[in-house]
Formats: sequence, C-alpha cells, structure tokens
Amino acid sequence: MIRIDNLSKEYDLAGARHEQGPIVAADHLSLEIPGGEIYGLVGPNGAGKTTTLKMVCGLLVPTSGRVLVNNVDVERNPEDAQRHIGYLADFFALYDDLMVWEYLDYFGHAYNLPSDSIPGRTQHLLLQFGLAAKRDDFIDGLSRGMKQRLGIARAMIHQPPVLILDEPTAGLDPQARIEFKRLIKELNKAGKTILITSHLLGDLQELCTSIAILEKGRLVKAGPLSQILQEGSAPAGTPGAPPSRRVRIKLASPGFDLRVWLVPHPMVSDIFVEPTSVEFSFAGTDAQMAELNKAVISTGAPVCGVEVITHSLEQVYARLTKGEVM
Amino acid sequence: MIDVRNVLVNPELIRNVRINLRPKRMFVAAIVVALTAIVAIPSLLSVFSHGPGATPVTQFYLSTVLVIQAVVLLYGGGIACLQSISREKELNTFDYQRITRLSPLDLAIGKLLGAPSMAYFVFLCFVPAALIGLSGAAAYTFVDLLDSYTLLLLGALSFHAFTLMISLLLSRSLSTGAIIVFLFLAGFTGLPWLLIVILKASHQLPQSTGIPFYSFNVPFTPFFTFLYASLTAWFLLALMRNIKRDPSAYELYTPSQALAFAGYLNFIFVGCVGSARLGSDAAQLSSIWINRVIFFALGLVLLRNRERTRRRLRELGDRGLSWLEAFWPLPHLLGGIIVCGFLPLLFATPPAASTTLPAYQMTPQPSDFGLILFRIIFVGISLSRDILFLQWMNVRSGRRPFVRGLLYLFAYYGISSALFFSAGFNLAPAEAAFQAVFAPLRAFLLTPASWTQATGAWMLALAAQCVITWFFAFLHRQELLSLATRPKKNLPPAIPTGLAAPAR
Repeated sequence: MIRIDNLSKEYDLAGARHEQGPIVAADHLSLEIPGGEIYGLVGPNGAGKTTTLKMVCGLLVPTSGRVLVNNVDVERNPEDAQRHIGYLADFFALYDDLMVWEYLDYFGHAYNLPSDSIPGRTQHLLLQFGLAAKRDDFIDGLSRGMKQRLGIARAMIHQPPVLILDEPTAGLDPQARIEFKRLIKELNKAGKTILITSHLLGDLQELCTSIAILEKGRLVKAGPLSQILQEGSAPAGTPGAPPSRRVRIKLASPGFDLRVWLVPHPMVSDIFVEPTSVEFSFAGTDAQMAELNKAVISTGAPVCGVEVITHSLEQVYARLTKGEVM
Repeated sequence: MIDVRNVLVNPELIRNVRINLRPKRMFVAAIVVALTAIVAIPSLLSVFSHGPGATPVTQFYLSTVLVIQAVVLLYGGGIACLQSISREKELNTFDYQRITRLSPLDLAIGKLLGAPSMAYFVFLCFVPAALIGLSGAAAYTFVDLLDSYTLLLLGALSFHAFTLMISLLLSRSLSTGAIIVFLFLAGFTGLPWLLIVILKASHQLPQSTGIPFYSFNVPFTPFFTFLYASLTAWFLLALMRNIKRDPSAYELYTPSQALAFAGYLNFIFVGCVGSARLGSDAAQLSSIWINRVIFFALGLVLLRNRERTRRRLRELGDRGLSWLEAFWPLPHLLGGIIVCGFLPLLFATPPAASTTLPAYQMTPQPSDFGLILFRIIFVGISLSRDILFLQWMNVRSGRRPFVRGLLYLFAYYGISSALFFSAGFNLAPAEAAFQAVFAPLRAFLLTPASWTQATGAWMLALAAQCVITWFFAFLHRQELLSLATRPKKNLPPAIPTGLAAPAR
C-alpha cells in the first residue's frame, strides 16, 4: 500500500551557523506498509516523523528516495497519489468562519466528488463522526475534540484507502481520546490503512498492528507490534546467540526453590526469585521451552502459570532508543 | 481556456465568498457605502464646487465615486490577496488545499477572485452612486463609464494576481508594519492606474486619445485591456506553477519562461517609449536602464536555494559541481540582456543633425558599434556579478543569508552611488573607467569621445568586472563542493546498521 524507498530529507535550520551541517530529518528510510494495517511511527520530537508523513503525502519533496502509494510515485504523480490519501496535520487548523457542513462541502467539491453525491456524503460523515447536531454551527464554536473529528471527517470525504494522521490525539481530553481510538479501530475494520504518529505510546500500543521507531531521522526498528514488543522485552544477549526471552513461572504456593533447578540449565540466565514466582531469561526455542516446563513440573513444583514477559511499548521504546536492545 | 461556468462553481471561490460575504457583513458594508455616497461625498463636494468655472457637481461626484471604487479595489482587494495564501500557510490549512484534486489553476483563480470578494462587493455597492452621478454628467456617457470600469477591474485583477504571487512567496502573514510598507509601495504602482481612471472619469482624455505603440496609435481602452490581461496571465502562470508545490521547491518561472517574460516587458517598453522618437543612443540607454531592472528581477527568479541545489547535486552527481553550474544563472542573464540591449536599435532612427543634446547624450555614429556592444556587455556583466553574489549568498547556510545578501547589495550601491555623484559627471576618461568598476552607473555616461580616448582603460574595467564575477562564481562553487561533501548533523548514536529492520 505504502512503500518508502531510501527516503532522505535534509534541510538547514533557520539561524544555524554556516559551519553547522544540514539537519537530516529522514536518513535513507525504507519501509513497507501493507494494506489494512494501523502503522505507528514512534520517535522523539525532531525524529523526522512529521517530515516523513509530509513526504508520503507529497507535501514535501524528498532530497532523495521515493514514496509509492498504491504503486503511484508521489513525487512524479502527486495528484494521482493524493487521491488515495487522507491527511490530518499535527497542528491542524480549520476554517473557523465556515459552518461545519460548508467545510465538508468545500472539500467534497475540492476532491471532485460528483456534486449530487456531496450532500449525502457530508451527512453520512456528520453522522459517523457524531457531528450531525453541529451541522449548521460555525467551526469556531466547536470543542477541540469535535474539531479533531471534523478534521478526520474532512480527510475521509473522498473515501481514501489510506489515512495519514499526525499526532491526532494531541491535546484531546481522555474521553475524546477513547472515542478517537474507537473511531480509528472502526475505520481500520472498514479496510482503511492508517499511518499514525503519536507521543502517547500507550495509545499506539492499543491501536497499532505494526510500528516503526525513528530516531534522528533513522529507522531504529520496524515490524509487527507483537514482534517488536517481544524482541524489545528480551534481555541483551551476546551477538550470534539465539534470541532470548524473559519468562515468568508462577507458583500456587511459596516454599519451593525453583532456582536450584534452573541454575544448571544452559539456556537459563538472569534468574530473579520471588516467593510465588521466578523470572528468568531463556535463550532457546519453543520446543526447548516446553521441555523445560515439563521438567519443572516433574520436580513437583506447584506451577500454576507460565508466561513470556513482554514490556509495554513505552518500556521497549526507551530500551531501543537507549541502544540497550536491537 | 478558462470556462466561466467552471469559475462560478470553483470551490475555492465559493469558500472565500461564503467566508467574506456573510449577510451581516454585507449589510454593514452596504450601510457604510450608502452613508458615504449619500452624506459624506456630497458634503465634501459642497465645499469645492462653488465659484465660476467649477466642475459640475455631478461630474465631480462621479469622479470621486470612481476614485473611491479604485482605492477600495487597489488597497482592500490587494491586502486581502496579500494575506490570502500566507495566512493559510500560517494557519496550516494550505497543506490541505494542496493535496485536494483542485487544479493549480482552479486554486489560483478561486483565490484571485475570492479573496478580494468583499472589495468587489463594496465596488458594486458604489455602482448605483456612480450611475446617479452619470445621469447628471452631460459630457460623460454610459459607454465611458463602462470603459472606466473595464480598466479598473482589469487593473485590479492584475494587481491582485501580483499580490497573490507575493503572498505565495511569503512564509507567514504580514505584520501591520509590513502592510503599511505595502500600501506605500502599492500607492506608487497604483498611482498611474488611478490617474487613468480619474482622467477617464473626469473626461479629461479626449476620445481620440490613443497610446503610441511602435508606429501605431492604439486606442486607450484596448491597449490597457491587453496590458492588464497579459500581466495577469503572467502572474497567474507563476501562481499555477507553484501553488501546489513544496515551498522549498518554488520556481516562479522556468528559465525560458523568465526570458520570455523579460522579452514581453521589453516588447511593451520599446513600443511605448518610442525608440523612433528618441534616437538610437537614448533608446539604447533607456533600454539598458529598464533591462537592468527587468533582468535583476529575472535573476532573482532564477536563483537556486540550498534545497534545490542539494537536489540538483544528487541528480547530477559530479556534473553538479561543474563551472557551468557555478556560473548559474549568468548565461541566461547575459544572453538576454545582450539581445534586449540591441532591440531598441532596430526601431531607432538617427536624430536630426541640429540636435542640442549634451555631449554625453549624443547618439553614437554607426562606427561606434563597439561602444554600443561594450556598454551592453559591461552592464550585463555587472548585473551578473550582483546576481552571482546573491546566488552565492542564497546557497549559504545561516540566518537569512539571502536577505543579508540583498542588504549588502543595497548598502554597496548606496555607497557607490554617493561616490559617483560626489565625483561629478566630468571625470577624465581613465578615472571614469576606474570608477565604473565599482559604480557601473558610470558606463551609462560613456561618450564616444571618452570611449575613443580610453578604450584600453574601459576594457580593463570590463576585465575587472569579469574577475569579480568569476570570484563570486568561485565562491558559489566552493559552496557547492561543501554541500556535496559536508557531514550531516544529527546522526544517531552508533547503531549497527545490520540490526535495523529492513523493508519487509
């Protein structure tokens, strides 16, 4: 759906001294975002998220590299590519002097929708986004959450298969955020591919199917969220060794010393014991893990649960960007 | 061709009209206009219309209404257009427009006609007042009024297109101070236009008045209709080319379009100034003067910023570091100014033998072809020097390098002009040549006698200009080299690239 090939963007910071080099907002980024995903771009301020999204939309020209949206080169055929894209900017703004329906009507015409279909489409979006009661109100009088919803409705007016949302939850109150997340999930269920950035990693963890972590313009990590969380939760291993994961065995009652059984095992390390559980790193395959479990139970330990520990996206992000894990 | 039906359903036009012409605003505007037309203007006129030989009140009233209409369109509409795009950039709404399916022409036309819609509405509100004035102005017919309105609206349209183009180039909306400066400048450019409207309105231009254009006497209204319409088309072209682009990749015109625009301005200039009446020397001098301004503007249009230079370096590789690139945009400027410098000579005739012009304005004889050529090349090189300096500044990093470059240039010309005038007009030929290196104005005063006496010195002055030009090209090339090799900032801490996720 979206393919980013070797994308770079350099620019000069206003006011920078001559000796300072250019800012690299995107540094040879390569990503592929399949259809139907909710794909999150994560990174600190200045990581290049907004710049990347703007290049995907054709609003910024890359210094090098290319972006394909539905196999259309954005730089060469921006208008064709933009048919497939709905975009909501980070510091979004609306025309405060227009009424809600006028705003959608304007963009309906601007996207060349058939004139007779625009009132119906507008009404449908107003209902879908809970703005029907505000149809004849001026945008100036809407709350921030409503404006946000109107912004997404605007991005959806031409029914694009791809939605690009830059910090859409910034500044929303908790209720509006919950509503917003529900909306995004609904849109995704309806088949939309969504590329989203946010500083609220909890929201992204809840929404995204895949994420890419950017830092200083470079891709640190990308892939399905579950895989990233699992890999990011693993302790740092030695290069070349099999991938390690953190495992917790829960005991029904205290008093059984599992450490004695685990220490000699060659694939187990970093053991941390609590009265009713034990945590350790395991560097083996799933089959080897099953063998270990069987062996632990055969010792007579009152095992009531075994789980692979995964960190939250926030913890994984912190570890990845500190270079603790890769 | 622009389809009028499409213009009327242009979404951008409709959006602007919806915002600007809400019933409440229209009502207030109409009341203000009515008060002005019924109370303010008549009270004002009553002060001036007494005494023998005074202009009839109704005609004076009509002129006043027309002038107010012109001012409303010029300033009101101009400011609305000036703020139109820059304000949207500031509000972050412009990006949404850029990614819609609106064509660049639709977007430009929608803004051009929509942004000043309130000014047009006020203009329309004054029409009944103008018709009342017309009914009592015996010497002024309805056709005259239509004539004035045609000029007024077309003139406004071209001025609005120009201000919209400026708005596109601004990154944020203007402060009050900047708007005042704009009003001041717009006053200068708008004055001749206002004068035309006033003259037409007060019927002081006889029906037979025409504009001498080359060897034709073109009627007033068609001439200005053509002029304003063609200028609007040029400004619209720049808007269409850029309105949906990334601002860092703005390029008002392609080099060939920019040259064509310069050619068009020369066509108008040569036709209007009347080379045939001036004689070859005066015609060439005036042409060089005007072309220095035209090609300076053209040079500014052709300058490449860092972003464009960086992309070009990536596209061209080593070829992007060639001397030809370092001399950009000199070939276009020099070629254009040489061609345009000769243009007036084609239409010039030798002046009468009994001319009483001062020596420095004497027409060169046919044998002075070398002088004519020298003068054009000298001015062309000095202009190229300035533009190459700005090109060098424009690719430098730092705080507003281009603006600094312009300021340095203004300061330089301020000082050199002071030196020029303090030295007086009658310098010895060698001294004049020396001073011309720093103050190219001196070359305009080069007489055949001075040229003959100190050809060597003048050639040295030209060589010095070439060396300075080369020096700026060298600096520009150094900047290109540094852009091609400069280490990047903000590289992340060492992360083994093999571990970063590749495209799936």
